[in-house]
Amino acid sequence: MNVEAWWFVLSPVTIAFAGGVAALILDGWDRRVVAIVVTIISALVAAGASAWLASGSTSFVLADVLLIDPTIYAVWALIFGLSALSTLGGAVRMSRLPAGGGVSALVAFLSAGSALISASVDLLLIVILIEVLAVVGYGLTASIRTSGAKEAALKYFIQGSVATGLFVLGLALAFGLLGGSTEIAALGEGTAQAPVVALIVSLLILSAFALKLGAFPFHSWAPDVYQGAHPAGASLIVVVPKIGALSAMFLIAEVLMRPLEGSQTAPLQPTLLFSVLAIASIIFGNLGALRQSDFGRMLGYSAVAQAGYALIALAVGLITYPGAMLLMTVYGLAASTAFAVAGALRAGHSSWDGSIRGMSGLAASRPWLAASLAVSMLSLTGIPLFAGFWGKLSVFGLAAAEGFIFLTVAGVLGSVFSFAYYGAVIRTVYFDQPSDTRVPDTPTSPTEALTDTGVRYRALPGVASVVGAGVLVIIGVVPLFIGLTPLVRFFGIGG
Amino acid sequence: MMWLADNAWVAVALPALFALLVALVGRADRLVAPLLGIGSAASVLLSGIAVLLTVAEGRTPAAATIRWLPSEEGILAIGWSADGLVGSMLVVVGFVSLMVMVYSAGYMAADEGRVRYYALLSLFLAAMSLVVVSDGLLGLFIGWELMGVCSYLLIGHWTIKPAAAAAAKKAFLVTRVGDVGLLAGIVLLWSHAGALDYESLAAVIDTLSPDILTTVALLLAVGAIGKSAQFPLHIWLPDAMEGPTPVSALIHAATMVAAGVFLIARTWPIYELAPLATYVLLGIGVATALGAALVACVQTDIKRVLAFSTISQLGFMFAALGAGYWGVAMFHLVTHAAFKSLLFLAAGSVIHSSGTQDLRKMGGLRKGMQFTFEAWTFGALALAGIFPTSGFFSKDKILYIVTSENLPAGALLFLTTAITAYYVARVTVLVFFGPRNSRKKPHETGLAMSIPPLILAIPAVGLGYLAKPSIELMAAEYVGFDLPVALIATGVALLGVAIGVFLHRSGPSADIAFERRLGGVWGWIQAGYRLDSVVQKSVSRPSLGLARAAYRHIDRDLVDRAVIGVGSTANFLGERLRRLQNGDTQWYISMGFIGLIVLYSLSVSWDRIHVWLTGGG
Amino acid sequence: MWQLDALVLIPLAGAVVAALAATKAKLVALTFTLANIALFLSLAPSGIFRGEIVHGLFSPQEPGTMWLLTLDGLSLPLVMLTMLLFIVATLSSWGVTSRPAAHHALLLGLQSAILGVFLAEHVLLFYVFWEAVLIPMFFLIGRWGYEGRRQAAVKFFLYTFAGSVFMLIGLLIALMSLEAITFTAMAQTIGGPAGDGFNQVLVFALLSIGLLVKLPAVPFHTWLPDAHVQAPTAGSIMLAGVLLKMGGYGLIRLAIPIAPEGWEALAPLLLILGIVGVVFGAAMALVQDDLKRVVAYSSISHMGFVLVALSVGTETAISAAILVMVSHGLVAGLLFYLVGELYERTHTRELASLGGLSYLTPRLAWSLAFAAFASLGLPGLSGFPGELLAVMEGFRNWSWWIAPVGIGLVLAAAYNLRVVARVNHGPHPPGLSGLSDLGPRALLGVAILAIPVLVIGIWPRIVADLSTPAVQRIIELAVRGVSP
Repeated sequence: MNVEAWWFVLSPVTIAFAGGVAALILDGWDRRVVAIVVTIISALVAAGASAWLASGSTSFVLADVLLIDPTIYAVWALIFGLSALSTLGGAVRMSRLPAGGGVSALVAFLSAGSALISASVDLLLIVILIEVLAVVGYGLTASIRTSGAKEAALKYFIQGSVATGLFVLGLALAFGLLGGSTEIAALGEGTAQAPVVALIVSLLILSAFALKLGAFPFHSWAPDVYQGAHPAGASLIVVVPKIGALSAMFLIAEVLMRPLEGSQTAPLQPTLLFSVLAIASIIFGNLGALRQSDFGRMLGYSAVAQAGYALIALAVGLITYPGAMLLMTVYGLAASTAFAVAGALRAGHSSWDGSIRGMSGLAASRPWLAASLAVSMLSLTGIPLFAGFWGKLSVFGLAAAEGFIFLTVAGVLGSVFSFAYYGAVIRTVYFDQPSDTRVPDTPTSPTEALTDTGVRYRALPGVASVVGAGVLVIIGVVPLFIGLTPLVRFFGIGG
Repeated sequence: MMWLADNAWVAVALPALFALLVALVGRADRLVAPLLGIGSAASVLLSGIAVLLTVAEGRTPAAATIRWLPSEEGILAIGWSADGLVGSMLVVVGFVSLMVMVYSAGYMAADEGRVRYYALLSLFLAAMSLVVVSDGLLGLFIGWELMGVCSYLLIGHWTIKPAAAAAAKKAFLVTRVGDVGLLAGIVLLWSHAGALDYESLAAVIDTLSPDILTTVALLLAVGAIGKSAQFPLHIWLPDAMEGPTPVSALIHAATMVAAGVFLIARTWPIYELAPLATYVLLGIGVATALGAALVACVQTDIKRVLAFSTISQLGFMFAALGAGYWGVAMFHLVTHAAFKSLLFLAAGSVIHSSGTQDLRKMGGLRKGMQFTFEAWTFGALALAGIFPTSGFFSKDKILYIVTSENLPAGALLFLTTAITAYYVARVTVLVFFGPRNSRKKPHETGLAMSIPPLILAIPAVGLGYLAKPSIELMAAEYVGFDLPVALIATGVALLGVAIGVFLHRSGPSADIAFERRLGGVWGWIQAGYRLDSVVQKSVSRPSLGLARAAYRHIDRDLVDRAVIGVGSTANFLGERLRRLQNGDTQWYISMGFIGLIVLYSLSVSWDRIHVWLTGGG
Repeated sequence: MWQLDALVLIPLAGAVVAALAATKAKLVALTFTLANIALFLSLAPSGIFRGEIVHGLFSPQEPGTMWLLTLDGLSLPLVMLTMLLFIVATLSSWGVTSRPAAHHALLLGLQSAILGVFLAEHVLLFYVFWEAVLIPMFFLIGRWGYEGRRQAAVKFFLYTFAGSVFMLIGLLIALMSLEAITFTAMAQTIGGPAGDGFNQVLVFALLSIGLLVKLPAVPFHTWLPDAHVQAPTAGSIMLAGVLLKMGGYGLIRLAIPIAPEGWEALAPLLLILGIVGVVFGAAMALVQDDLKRVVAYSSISHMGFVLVALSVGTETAISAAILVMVSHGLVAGLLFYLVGELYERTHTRELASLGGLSYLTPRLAWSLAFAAFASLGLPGLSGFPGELLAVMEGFRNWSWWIAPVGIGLVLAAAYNLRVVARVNHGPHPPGLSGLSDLGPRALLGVAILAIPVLVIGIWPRIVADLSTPAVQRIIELAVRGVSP
């Protein structure tokens, strides 16, 4: 491949972005449904293009700020794929909002921004993108226009601003004290001269990313946003920026911190740092999720724990990068599936109050939704036969192999513990008697759902959840036959 | 016939097969089940005769062995072998069970559980034959346990009676305690000798240390004590009377209780090298003989009298074993089998006819039950050891060898002989003489029930003259007739009889007078020295209480609560945490900053912490 | 051999068919189970019963795939046990009226997962199946169980899952030091630098935690009474019959060959756990009022014998452990099956409110008595040979330390006879009358389990000979691992 035109290299992002712009215009003509469909299609095309590009082996450097290699393309494919799935899951609610097309456009922008952030090697670009994401996320969260959502959005925005502030502070320090460059690679060279500054810079920048990741102690926004936001918005805020942030954190950790390892003056212990954060996140997230009655809030806390598992990978080092990306991706997929189920419940004109208890009896009234929910919960727990298991295995397995038994134990115990609340959802859905706030008997199967237009439309989130659950099962089972290597190699560094 | 002798396994296989057949087709006709039962008894008897004939010819019947379980370190096999001892035992078992089967045809004719009864009886026979013909301790143990279960089911035959269920359970559990001892002995022997069949054992036994041999002998004796109802594991036997009377006859005479004596006889080479164990046997035998005889004197239930007399007579056998003459013990086993089964079957007829087991409600049954009375009398004379019945000869030998081995023990056995004669006379007088206390008119109970006791009377009386050939056939040491002992024994026995007849000639009034005069002691003896309640209080109830307490306090309160505790602690922390997340953004941000500062401090001071933690190393 | 792969996949296909079959699901389940047995028997010409090892479609030399299946003498008895028990479990669920399709689909799924556990050759595949077993079981307990089913299902899942992850950590550490990922390869590399002593102890301990929870050994057992009592009949049969065996199987297949030195070092601990299990389980069984709880605690007691046997490093001892496992699978399966039938008629499992069944429903009563005798280790029935061998080998190795097992033997008689006395004997409570006895279908279920119980009791070599070649290999490897 000799074509190195920027439009070619960036075509997936461009397609997604163009879809978003188109959706905005269509929304202006009040063609909400068309707008949503356009974003979904453009996201799918972008995902396909990324996947195709990922199969190549060339790396591109664009204007010294973007480094795009097949690994990044693989991440992009995931980001856009998840974006399509989330939009599908939230489609019904979006279509009812006055500016529904605009919301879907926000989703497209969010995914494009996240894609770019994962490829950035320049702090200045990263800070701009973080700000973009914060604004888009604010819009997304607020789009539902309930008081809860507005409050959540505000919190998200304030904390996002704090993160940006931290980041800018770090950037300023880096620029001023470490050699006058905003390029990450260049920063690395400066760290040797001023270790303490490097430490502060790293901490500031990493905490900004940790906030995006939702790791302890920068997690506080997560429960509120998960609970209050629009299902599509929430699933995107949850998923897409996290993949980008994790990818970037690996980069920064490698460049800023690892070179110092081995040298006598090393002030920085990334392993220690990430281990502490990981274990704290796992404990905090799991304990927090245990007693939640609201489904979204439970997912929010559990996300903190999931961020903790990803931090284990960071503590172990670059070797875990593919595993960490796999972990984050299948987490995102499972979380999106769960949000799609929530979206479907909300779409069914139901009186569902968002509580876990309110889902009781779902197995009888909407077996497909219940099954998708069960699959996503089992995958989040990390039970074999579902994708989540491979994600956790590839991180914990490497941690054990590298001698971080302590982290492995923390990770697996956290996973076991998580079944207390994930399993409680399954228990409610399958074993408990239907509560008073019963879910009405709307479509029971995807095929049935497609027979009638009105019903079809409302069934979209359900379809999204079933698709998500199906993918979780396929990723969970296929490695048994073809091995885990292809799955991990997909994220392999440098192809 | 020779084929039967060389294939002793037939004595196990046929009864087992018949048991199966009974279970499958026994319901078809009233006669099928009894006939099949008689068939299984006959097959055992025939096998025994064939073996004895072969041995008499001076030939050893064939044996064979099959590997039963894999084992690198020795031979874990089962097989069969036969000799004079085995043949005699098979004859005894076959003969007595044949009588019992015939008798049952009358006794159990109207019972709803007939089919089950005959199937179990046949299976019981198969198990006993397995004990007898096994060529080693493994096979013996298998038969031994199976017999335990069959006796459990037979004692509990009348399932609707809670007392029967309790008695059956007790019989199984108490003998199980002995069985665990036996098993321990087997395991110990296996781990040191590497084999369990008698032939291999005999070859290596000299190489084992005396300590091991003594331990093995004592452990095997525990099993024998349980099965043969010796003190202190005899407590199951009196209760076992809850079963149908023919079953009692079989259990008490030829099968269950005989197995213990047989076990020691069969493993005699071990005991020969373990003198300590034989002393223990002697002590237990004498104590049991005397103690049980005393209890038998004051029982009011005819079957309980016989039960305690069984325990007492087995005590004689153990004493003989303890004195070192297993052949004599076996000979007493044979004669005892004859007269005791006779007595049980006759007692069954008496119960059947009078409708009660209570001695005080019987009386005057001689008229109307002439056959039964005559048969009973022969049996009673044999039990009392009156010349010229078989019991006289076998008991005479035991008294002689025990006296010459250990004088005080011998003296106690003489005393027991007198007591035995006394209670035999008491029962006989109370049942058959004196005024009639029951309104029911005594009557004979049909051919099937009258003939077997009469047939059994023949060996009960005549076996004594076969002492020499039968002991020699078993290849055991023969003990001749000893006149002084015989004279003294006869004297004390006659004395006992005389006292018994004199005291009880006027019916149960003597008992009442005794009871009034002796008060608590009487009750204490009558209840078998209250050993049952001692066991209840010291073993059963404490263990149950302990188990309950362990369940409540260890399993639930400790182990399970520890598990639940993890969950509730987590829930508690989760609840706390939920309150921490109060929706206050300022607080959220502060938390982030605090975290940042902590992380910073940790990072910069880690080296020092690390040095401190590792002690400067 | 494609049959091996099909053995695992056919029940899975059956699950899908059953889920769609609605009311005909039970026929589907039975058909697929029987078809699977037929398929299994079609392997006979390749010599599986003569000690031949059979591999699945993918060969272990082929890299990449985890789907490696192997059938050897160790898996064979347990695979056969599983299949027998599934017929019975299906028969026992014949009367399920609440969502029968889902019930039978889950049963078939469970069958697939369990067969996978016993056939897996690849370490990760083994773990995947091991955990996959939890899922259908979780739903079976939680959806079709009794009063406290919801809590019991979660407790079962959390508890055994918690145990399994320790096993996973142990496996990961072992994988790190052995650099082999199939059991065969692991066993072959073990002669080399397989980690130092401490590492082996750690690995063995970690593996054992997961396996001992499953077995279960005291004090990791408290999930079991709840799960057993609350599970529907089919669930109890599978739990006691097969799931517990996974623990023993894992010890033999995984823990011993991977960490022989650890095994050697921790053998006294296994012995203590085994003895405590035998005695404590039996004592607990003695004081239960709920029939299912009695059987549940008796399982703990019986599995104690497996541990006693596995604390001894001989071939014979491992054969004993396998015998105990197979026998207990049959006997406990039979007991739970009968308790299920009993409950269907009387609607109670309380010992105090039962009685007189020997004349009310003689066939049921005598079947129960038969099972109870098998459970108390009566010679001539399957329980005896394995326990005898376990005790013999235990004594040979540990001498009088194993003496407390004798208490367990007496207690076993006590609790089993207590059940028989309470249920079969005595007058019946007024409420119980007009009960129907076991019909032909139920009797078939009884026969399927009772006949092997009898056959193994009389001729235990039928099981022992199957497993001997595999056991010899394992011991050889373990010995090589201990003293290279």
